Amino acid sequence: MSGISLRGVSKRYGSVDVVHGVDIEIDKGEFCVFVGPSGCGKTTLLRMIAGLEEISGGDIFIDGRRVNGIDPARRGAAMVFQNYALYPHMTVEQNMGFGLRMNGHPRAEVATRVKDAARLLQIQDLLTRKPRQLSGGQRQRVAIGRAIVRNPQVFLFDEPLSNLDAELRAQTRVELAKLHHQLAGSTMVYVTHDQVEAMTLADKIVVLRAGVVEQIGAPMELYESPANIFVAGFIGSPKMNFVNVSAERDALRLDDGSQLARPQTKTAPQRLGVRADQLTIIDPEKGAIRGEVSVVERLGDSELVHVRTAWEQEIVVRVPGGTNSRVGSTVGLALAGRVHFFDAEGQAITVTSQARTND
Amino acid sequence: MRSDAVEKDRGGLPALSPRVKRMLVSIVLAALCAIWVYPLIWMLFASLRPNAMIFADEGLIPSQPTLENYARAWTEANMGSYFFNTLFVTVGSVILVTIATAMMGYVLGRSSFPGRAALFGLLVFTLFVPQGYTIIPIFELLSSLGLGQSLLGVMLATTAGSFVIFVLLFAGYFSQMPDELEEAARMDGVGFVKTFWFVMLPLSKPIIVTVIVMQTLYAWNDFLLPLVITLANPSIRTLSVGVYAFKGENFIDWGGMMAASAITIIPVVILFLLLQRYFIDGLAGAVKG
Amino acid sequence: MAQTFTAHAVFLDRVWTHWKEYLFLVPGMLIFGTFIIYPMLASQYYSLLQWTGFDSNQVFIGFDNYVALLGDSFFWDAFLRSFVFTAITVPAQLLISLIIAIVLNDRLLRLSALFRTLIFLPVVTPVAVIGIVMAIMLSPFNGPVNIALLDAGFVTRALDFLGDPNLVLPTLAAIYVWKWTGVTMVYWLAALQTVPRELFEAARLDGVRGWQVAVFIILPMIMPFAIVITLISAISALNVFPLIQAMTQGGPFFASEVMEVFIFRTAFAPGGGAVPQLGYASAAGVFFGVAIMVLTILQIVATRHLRSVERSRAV
Repeated sequence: MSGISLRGVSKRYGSVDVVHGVDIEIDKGEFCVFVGPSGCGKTTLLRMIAGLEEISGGDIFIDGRRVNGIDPARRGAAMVFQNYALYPHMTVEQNMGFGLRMNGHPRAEVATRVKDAARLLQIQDLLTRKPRQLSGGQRQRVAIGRAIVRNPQVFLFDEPLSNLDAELRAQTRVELAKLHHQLAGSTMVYVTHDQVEAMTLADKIVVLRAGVVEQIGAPMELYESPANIFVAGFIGSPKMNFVNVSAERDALRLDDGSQLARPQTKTAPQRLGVRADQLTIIDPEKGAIRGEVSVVERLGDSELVHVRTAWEQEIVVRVPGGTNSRVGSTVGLALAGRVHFFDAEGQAITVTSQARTND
Repeated sequence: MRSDAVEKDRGGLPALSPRVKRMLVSIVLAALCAIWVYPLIWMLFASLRPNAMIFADEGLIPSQPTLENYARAWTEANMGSYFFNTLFVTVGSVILVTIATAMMGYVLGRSSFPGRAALFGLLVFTLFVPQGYTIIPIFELLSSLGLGQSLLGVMLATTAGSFVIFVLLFAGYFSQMPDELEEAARMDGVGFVKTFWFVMLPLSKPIIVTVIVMQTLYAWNDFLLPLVITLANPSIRTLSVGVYAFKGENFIDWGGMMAASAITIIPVVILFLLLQRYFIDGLAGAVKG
Repeated sequence: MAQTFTAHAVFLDRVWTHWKEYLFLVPGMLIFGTFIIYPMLASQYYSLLQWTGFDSNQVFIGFDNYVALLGDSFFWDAFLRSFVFTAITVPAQLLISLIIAIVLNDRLLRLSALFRTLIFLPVVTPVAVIGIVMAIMLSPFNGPVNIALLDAGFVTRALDFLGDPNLVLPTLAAIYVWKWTGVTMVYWLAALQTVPRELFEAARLDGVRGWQVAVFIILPMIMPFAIVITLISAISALNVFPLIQAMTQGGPFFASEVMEVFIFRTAFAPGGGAVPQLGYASAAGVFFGVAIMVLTILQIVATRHLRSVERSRAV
C-alpha cells in the first residue's frame, strides 16, 4: 500500500521548467529523503505534496487519494518549515494548538493533544514561553510539536536542521530518527541538501538534480551502486575520486600513461570512480597511480591523505588514524576494493566480471 | 612612539571626556527646549491665573492659581461639548481608518490579485493632491448625503486625511513578513480571514500604534474640514474650531482662552507620552521595509 | 475569437480565485473612492462651472474660469507665495530637525526621551491654539518676544510681526517650522534607527569623530529616506492652510494669502460681503494640484537622474 505517490509530476514557472515529470513511490510509514544541490527542485516537490505550490502537470496521491487541487489543510499532511514559522506573538502552547482551535476542536481536547506532543518532545517546561525566548533547537522541537499535534498521516520537513549549529544538528538528527520509530506508521518526507542527513535518516533516498530524479533507493544501495557519476559524487564523504581513463583492448590507460586491467563491460569505460577508503597507499614503485602527498587531514580515527597525481589531480585516500603520512612524500596508490566505471554520458557501467585491480 | 590609531587632539582644545561632552550637550538642549516650549508653558500657567492677572508682571508661576478659567471654558464656552465632539470624531475615525487601512494594506502587501499594480499607482498618485483641492466636493458630497452639517460627516471625511500613507505603511510592513507564517497557517487549515485576524494583525502592532497616533494627531488637530462643516452649526464644533471661534467671540477672556487651549492639548500630549516609544519604533520598522 | 474568449475566461477565473482579497479591499475603497478619488474628479468638473454657492445653479462655462485665473493677480500672488513659503520652510525644517535628531539619537544621552517629547509638543498643539498663543507671544504691545528683543538691544522699536506686510510671511514661516520640526525629527530618528550600530563603533575605532561621523557615515546611509522625508515635508508645506487661517486669515492686505487660503476665501467667502465662487475656486485648486504634481514628478526624475549620474561616475 502506497503512502504517497507522484506520477509524472512537473512544475513550470512561466516558461521555466523546474521539475520535469517526476515519478516517486513512497510507502506508508517510510522515511523518504529528497536530496540534491540547491535549485534541484526538491523543495518545490515537497511544497507540491503539501499543496502550497500548484501542480503544473501529473498527479499526486496521498493514501490512494488524488490530492491535486485539494486544500493543503485537507491532505492529512503537516509541515515543518526551514525557519520554523512559529507565530511570534503566541506561546508555545498556543502555537501548537492554533490549528486545532481554529478548526473548532474543543479546548480540553486541544490541551491534552498539546500536552502529549510536548511530552514526546520533552518540551513540557517551555509551554508558556514565546518563541523569541527559545533557543534554535527548542524552536525546532516546537515546530515539530505543532506538526505532531495535528496527528497527520504525512510529515513534511523542509530542511529543518539547516539553521542549527553542527553539534545540535547531529543531536537533532538522532532524535528525528527516534521520533520516526515512535510515530510508527506515519510517512515522512524530508528535504535536505546534506547527504549525511539523507544517509543517516532515510529508508529511501531520492536524489534530484535540475528537476530530474537521478536515482531512488535505500541509502546503502545508492552508496554501493550509484546509477551515475552525479549520484556517485553526491553521496558519501569524502567525495568519490574520479579518474579519466581511455579504454584500450584489454587495458585502461590513465593520463600519465600507466595502465590498469580492463574489466569486462558492454561499453567502453571513460571514467573510473573509487572511494577514499577503497584505495591504499603503497610503495611508489608498485602502485597503479603515483603521486605526491599535498595535504593530510587528521580526523583522529582516520586520516584523509590528498595525493597529487602526475596529471595534476587531487585524489583523496582514507588511511587509519596515526599513520602520519608526510606531506611532500611520493607514494603509490592501489585500488583496493570496489571500483565504479562510467561511460561517456556519466552512466554507471555494469561490470560483468571484475578484473583484478591490485597489483 | 605615537601611532596614527591613537586619538589625536585636533581642535587644539583639551579633549573632553564623553561624559562631560554629554553633559554640555544636555545643558544646551535643555536651554533650547525651554525656549521651544516657552509659549506652551506660558499658556498653561496663564490658564491658571484670574483674568485680571493674565498680563500682570509677576513672573511665570501664578501667585493665586485658580481653576475658574477651566470651569468657564468648559461650560460657558461649550468646550465641554466640543471636547466630546472631538473625541467622537477622533475615536471613530481612528477605528475606521485602522481597520480599513490594515485590511487594504494586508491585501496589497501579500497578495497578487489582478489590478494590484494599478491600485498601487493610483494610491501613490493621490498622495500629492493638496487638501484645499478636495474640500469643495467633499462638502458637496456630504451635503447631498444629508451629512453636510453633522459630526458623522466630519468623522467620515476625517478618515481620508492620511489614508494613503497608512495603507502604504501597512502594505510595506506586511510585505516583509516571512511567507512561511502564512503557509504554516494554511497547513493548519486556518483560512484567509482568520489568518489575518489571529496571525497577521497581532504581528503588525507597531504599525497599528503608528497609525493610531498619527490619525489621532490628525483628527484632533484637523481644522479646515470641521471649520467648513460647522460654519452653519456651532453646536457640532470640534475643539480646534471651538478655540478658533472662542478667539473671535470672547476676545477679552484671555484666561478662558488659555484654559480652552490647554483642554485641547492635554489629551494628545498624554497620548503621545504613552505611545511615543512604539510610535518611533513603528515608523522605523515601516521605513526599513 | 475563441482565443480571446478563453483569455477572458482565464482572467475572470483569476479574479474569482481572489474574491476574498477583493472583499478585504471594500472598506478601504469606500473611503478612498468617496473622499479622495471622487473629490479629485469632481473638482475638475466644478472648475468648468460658474457656480456661486451650494444652493445656486451650476452653469457650464468651459475653460472660462481658467482664463480668468490667468489674469487674476491675487491668484498669481498666492500661487507664488505658496512656493516661496515652501522654499523657506522646507530646508530650514529639514536641517534643524536633522541636527536635533542626530544629537538625540545618542543612546547614552539620558534625557533624550524628554527632549524628544518637548520638541514634539508643538506638533500636537492644534493650530487654533498656536494662533492664540503666538499672537500673545508676538504682540507688539509687551509681547515676550518683543520685550526680549528690546532688552537685548536688537531692535529699538517693537516689531508688529503679524501686522506688518513685510514681516508676516517670514514670521509665519518661523512658526510653521517651529510647529512641524518635531514630526520631521521623528522621521529622521526612525531613519537613523536603521543605521547599524556597528558602523558607529567601527567609525570610532577608525578615529572618525563628531561632525565627520554625521557627514561621512550617517548622511550617506539615510540618503534614501532623505528623499522621501523631503518630499513629505514639501507636500505638507504646500498645505499650510490651517496655520495661516488661524493666525492671519491671509492678511494683512493679503500679504500672507497662500494658495489654499485663496481657495477657501473665494469658495466660501467667509464673513460675508463677497459672492462665493465655487467653480472659480475649484479651477484654482485644480491648477495648483496639477502644478504640485508636475513639480513632484520633476523632482523625482531629477533625483533619479542625479543618482544615475553618480552611479556611472562611481563605476
